[in-house]
Amino acid sequence: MSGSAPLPDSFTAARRSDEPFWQRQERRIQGSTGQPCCTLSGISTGLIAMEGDFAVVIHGEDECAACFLHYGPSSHRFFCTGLTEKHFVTGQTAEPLRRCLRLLCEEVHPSAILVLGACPIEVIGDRFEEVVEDVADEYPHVPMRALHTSGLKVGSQAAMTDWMFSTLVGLPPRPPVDPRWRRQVGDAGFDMVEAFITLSPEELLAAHKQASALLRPPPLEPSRCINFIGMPAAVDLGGFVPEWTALLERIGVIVTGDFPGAATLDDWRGITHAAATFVVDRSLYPRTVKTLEDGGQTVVDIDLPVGIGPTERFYETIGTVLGLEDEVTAVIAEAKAAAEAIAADFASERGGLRVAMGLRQLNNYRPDQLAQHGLGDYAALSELGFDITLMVQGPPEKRDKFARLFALRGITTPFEVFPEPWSLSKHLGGGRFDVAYMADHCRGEARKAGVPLMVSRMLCPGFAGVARNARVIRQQLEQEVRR
Amino acid sequence: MSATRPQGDADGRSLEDFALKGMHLAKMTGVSTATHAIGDGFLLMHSGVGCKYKTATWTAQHDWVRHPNRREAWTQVGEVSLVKGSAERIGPFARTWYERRRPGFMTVVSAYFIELTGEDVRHVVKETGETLPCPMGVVATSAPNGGFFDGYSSVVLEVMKTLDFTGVPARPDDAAVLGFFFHRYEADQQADLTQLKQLLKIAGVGPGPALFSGRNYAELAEAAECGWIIKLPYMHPQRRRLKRMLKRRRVVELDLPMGIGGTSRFVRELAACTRTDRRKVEAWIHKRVSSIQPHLDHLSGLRGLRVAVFADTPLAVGLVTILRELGVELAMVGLRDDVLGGPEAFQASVEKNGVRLNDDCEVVRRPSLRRIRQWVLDTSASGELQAVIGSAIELNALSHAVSVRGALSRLALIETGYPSKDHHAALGVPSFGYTGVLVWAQRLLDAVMTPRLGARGGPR
Repeated sequence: MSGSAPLPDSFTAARRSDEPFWQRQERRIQGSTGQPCCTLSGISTGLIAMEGDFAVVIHGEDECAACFLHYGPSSHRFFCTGLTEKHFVTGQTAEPLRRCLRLLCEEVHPSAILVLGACPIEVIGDRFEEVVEDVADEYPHVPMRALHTSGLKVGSQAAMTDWMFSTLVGLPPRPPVDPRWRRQVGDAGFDMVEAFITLSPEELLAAHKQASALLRPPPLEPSRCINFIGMPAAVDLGGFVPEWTALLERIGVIVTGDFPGAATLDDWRGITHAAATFVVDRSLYPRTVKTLEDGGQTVVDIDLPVGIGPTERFYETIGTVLGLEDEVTAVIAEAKAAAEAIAADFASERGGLRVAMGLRQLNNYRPDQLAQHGLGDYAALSELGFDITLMVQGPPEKRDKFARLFALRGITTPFEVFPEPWSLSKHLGGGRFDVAYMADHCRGEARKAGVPLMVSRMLCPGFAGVARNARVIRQQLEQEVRR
Repeated sequence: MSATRPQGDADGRSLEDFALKGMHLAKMTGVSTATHAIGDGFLLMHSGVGCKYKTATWTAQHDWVRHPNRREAWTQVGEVSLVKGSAERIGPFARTWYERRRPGFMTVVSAYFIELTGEDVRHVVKETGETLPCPMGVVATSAPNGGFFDGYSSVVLEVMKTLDFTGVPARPDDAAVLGFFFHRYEADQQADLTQLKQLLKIAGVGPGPALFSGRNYAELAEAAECGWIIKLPYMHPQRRRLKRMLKRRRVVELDLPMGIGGTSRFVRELAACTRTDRRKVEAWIHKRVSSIQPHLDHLSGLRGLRVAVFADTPLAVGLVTILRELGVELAMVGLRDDVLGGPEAFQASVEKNGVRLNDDCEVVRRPSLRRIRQWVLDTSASGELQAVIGSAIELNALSHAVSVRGALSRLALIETGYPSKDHHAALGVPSFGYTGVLVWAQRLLDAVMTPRLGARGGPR
């Protein structure tokens, strides 16, 4: 790139003539918040990460099947009608879809099929839901859902996520199985493999006998079952598993679903079995909440349980809703005390570090990123003694709007608004910050500003997360400083 | 060898035809990868928001050296702008981004749903180009959409259209390379370029620019000054247009220089065209082959291994050549593309490299992830497969397939090609040239011979 060489007059004149366009463009984006998203891309990203006996058909051209990463446990469950110009121009889009759906029902026998439309389908006004209904009538045992997804109706990531969740919640229900029994069956499987590789037929037979005692799952009492929606996924946190499932099991509370991160299709179909669902920032999911409440379930709003305060409130809320306040207080006492000691230790050692915390930077469809306007880690950083300045990626002229938003959440921390990540070094430099807590793609800018970068939303939840967070932050600060 | 493709009913497609493929990335992703490969390139997507995911997201994970986000933008086409006419958006966006990034070359790619409205995007880009200080190219994703490699080679062609190949070349003894598939700025790609340059010199031409190679547009433009053009197989989708464009240049079509046979053939075929002293060339080949052969002779442990390869056709030719030279048997070869020659070209090139596929190897055109997964599970369960070489997409489909029997059979997964999610290059290790044979022998050894759990095999 040629740096800042003078621009020719013809270019400058053309740029001036663009001004009316940019004024219209500015009016168009008035009031929009967050990164926009394509619902086909977002819902496909969610579904490819989900285990289960389902199939997804992308109804459109092959190009459209590339709008999400083909990584995840269910990539082999995706299909595409592969429409070509001939289909679009002649309007003959129904037959390929009909054929694909019939072949799936005949050869794959999935428990559910989701059909996702693409932009060209929307442009020609294709009513493919009629084909889906027709084929569903032929195979009534296979629930099918048609979703007019596309990138044309630019929407928020939260709305897309809500749409996907509510669609899955709306599938015909199936009772969940006890996760403790599922773990026992899994362990029995591992025991059998261990026995297998001992080369001893006797040990293998003994393992078989042990496993056969687990033939049927025990019944699950709904009043003791709960779900979570919107928690951080272990896969995004290096496999970290928070303590709550184990702690709550000690007092007889069973987590039957952890959505969407660890959930399978069967988990979604069993979601209404539980007495209550705890949702991180329920305002993000109006459709899903309504579907659950219409089914008689208690839906409770919680903050992201990252940091001691939010984690304590999270447990208290569960205790209150289930009428188990004393039991919950007792069971968390030890973990809470350990976390408080670690946080105090960290704050005394590193307290006062000035951190630039980035907001509105990502389009990765993660519920934990979307929750609380991206402020889910604010409390945890605060407790660890960081001196926080919020760095908001967005139009600087919308500063007042962001100020109101923070005030509503009781946040009085200083904040700055910057238009794009590639100008970030100007905001981070000048010795104003000791560390940046931002999206990974800001690393170059942070380095240019001489500020170490910690990748945002890496903080782990729960009381157990506090120890891990303190350790990882220490390591990262030391590593970055060495560079 | 048998070349197969599952057959559907006479009146329609089979489920395999509908299933997601190992390479389901299409033209726009190829355009993005190509523009990323121009050091100062910039991609403007005239598209909806989902198309952003077709582009930078893939390369962002594949290339740890340079993030593509910095050099692309989209014109933010939504429903309303589509109805009102969206082409007017190209000019203002192109100029704004030019001013911010000062690219040497700007590619505009338009999404198919916009082209459906019949707007003349090409004309608008031409008008915009007249106001821009850098050259522009435009690629449409409407039919014919030949997929990822059609997109990549289309950008090479767009760059070439900005150059004049009709004049007398200023560097008659130098060769420009067309269709080098440069997909990331990591050391492995640089190492392949180094190998390529060395081979060109031995074969009697000076190395000119490679399209693409991570170099800036100004350097790529020197291709027009070169008297020789080396056309690699990735340019196959543009072969007719290139023929018209390059009438005044000496064009040599070559396969990738991979494997002992493939590398020697590359040098011999080019040297024959340049009329380089044959004895000198043969002496060099003999010396290089003699220097690596003793190392390969010790690798008896690799002989008889059975491996499946999933790669685009030119890479598959190279990998299969290397594997056969190492004494490895091929259980399946999945060709990820359908525009780079197909099974016939694959087989012909492999044979020209002096190796033969084992008779029971199946060659499949664009196998789906569903098919690959099922085949690998079935084959590895019987212990008849020891390794799978493929891109992150194929390996992802396998790594999530829980199979204790597969694990016990010591199935190794080796990532290569585009996209790679977990395999990255800290060292400049090439796949090209004679050194590439040693590199692949080492990769195979590391993957297959590493001790792992469950190696004992169970009760007998």
